[in-house]
Amino acid sequence: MGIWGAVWTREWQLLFRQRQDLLQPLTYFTMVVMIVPLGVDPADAVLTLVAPAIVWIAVVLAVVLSLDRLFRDDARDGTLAVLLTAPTPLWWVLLAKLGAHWLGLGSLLAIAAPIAGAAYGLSLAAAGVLFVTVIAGTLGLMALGLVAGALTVGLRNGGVLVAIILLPLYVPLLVFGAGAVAAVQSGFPGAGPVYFTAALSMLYATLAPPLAAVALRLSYD
Amino acid sequence: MWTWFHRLASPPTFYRWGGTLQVIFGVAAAVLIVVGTYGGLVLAPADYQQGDAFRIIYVHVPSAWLSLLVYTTMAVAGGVALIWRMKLAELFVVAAAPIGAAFTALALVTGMLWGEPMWGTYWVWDARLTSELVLLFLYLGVIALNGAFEDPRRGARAAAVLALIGVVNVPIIHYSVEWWNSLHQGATVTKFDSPSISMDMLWPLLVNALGFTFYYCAMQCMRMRALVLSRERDARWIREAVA
Repeated sequence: MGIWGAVWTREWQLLFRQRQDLLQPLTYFTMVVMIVPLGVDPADAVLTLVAPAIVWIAVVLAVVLSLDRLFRDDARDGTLAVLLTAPTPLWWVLLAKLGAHWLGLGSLLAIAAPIAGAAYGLSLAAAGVLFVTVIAGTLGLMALGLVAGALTVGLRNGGVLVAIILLPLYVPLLVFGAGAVAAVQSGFPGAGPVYFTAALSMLYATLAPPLAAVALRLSYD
Repeated sequence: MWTWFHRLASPPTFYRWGGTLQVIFGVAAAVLIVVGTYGGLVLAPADYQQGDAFRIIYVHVPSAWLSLLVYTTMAVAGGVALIWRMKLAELFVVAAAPIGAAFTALALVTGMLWGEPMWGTYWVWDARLTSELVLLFLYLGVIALNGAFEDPRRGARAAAVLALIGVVNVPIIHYSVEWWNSLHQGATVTKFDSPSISMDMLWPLLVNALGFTFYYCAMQCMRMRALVLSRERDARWIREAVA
């Protein structure tokens, strides 16, 4: 297995041993979704109309909130400094972080999103598309988040800054992800935007680890 | 082969020739903007549909062009700063961000002032307006990230990384927003769209666009020289140059 596999194993173990890091963003997602109908007339058809946007925005907010765990502990206890000097390429370590984070939180959000969508009155087909776009889209969201997290590691007010940096970059994924669901809900084919979501995610996931490695090395110069 | 380039790009040398360049660019910008604005406000005929209201185009369109041009140059400088670790390129990124943000804001504000009499509303969620607004937030992100670091060099390099991510995203954002808009609104907002603008309306626009570009170059030199002064304030050559 060697050091290449050990990096992945470590990320997996962290994921399962610090479950609150995943459960808290999930709870936050649920609460955002729950709170919106309280602000409008729950019998209103408008709720179904805006459901794709609201669920997707809740996903985005939960992801932004969860990014803290990527580097916080590693920076605090010095692991990050060791990883920077390790013989393993840094981008591989970061890919492991991204992969574990996505498979953990991304899948949880992808399961929760269609349930939330159904509660808003989305059709079964639209809820299914919501599952697909969220599982595909969270990879891209987290890949961009990896770079933003690497850029702000060690900063005191990193949290708000990460959100400011990321939200404009999240526009395309939000547009295609929510757009696919809205299209299917109103009876149009949604395959095109779904493919766009997946393609963008792959692009970001490919570019992010090396860029985040550059960003980390800058922080530790 | 590249030594002359590195010599030109060293802060003390730049401080000197940047000062000359700043004056040249500034004069060129002043002349072009005066000519272009006079041509636009006085010489160009009134539009047959919009009357004199269309004349805001001579500020609006150049600022919108510059908002994209500045971002592109900023990202190129960011790439140079990260690959060759050139100090001057880092300063370029830091200096360009507020200028670009100002051009973006100007394009948005003039667009809104134009939209009110023409479309009857200050703001519509049109694809172009929205992507320009997102661009403004991209600039604000770069400025905020740069300002968050205590060490100015680290801040500048972080800003350079963000500018690079942003420039990959600018076209994606543009086309995604266009797609979003066409899906949600069957008929796009009827807006002033002139594929063939007449020559006597066009030339002041081009002159002003060139003038705005020179203005950007002059401002860029000025801001970079100010940054050099503040970053190298303990160096001996500064005391000699300023004295």
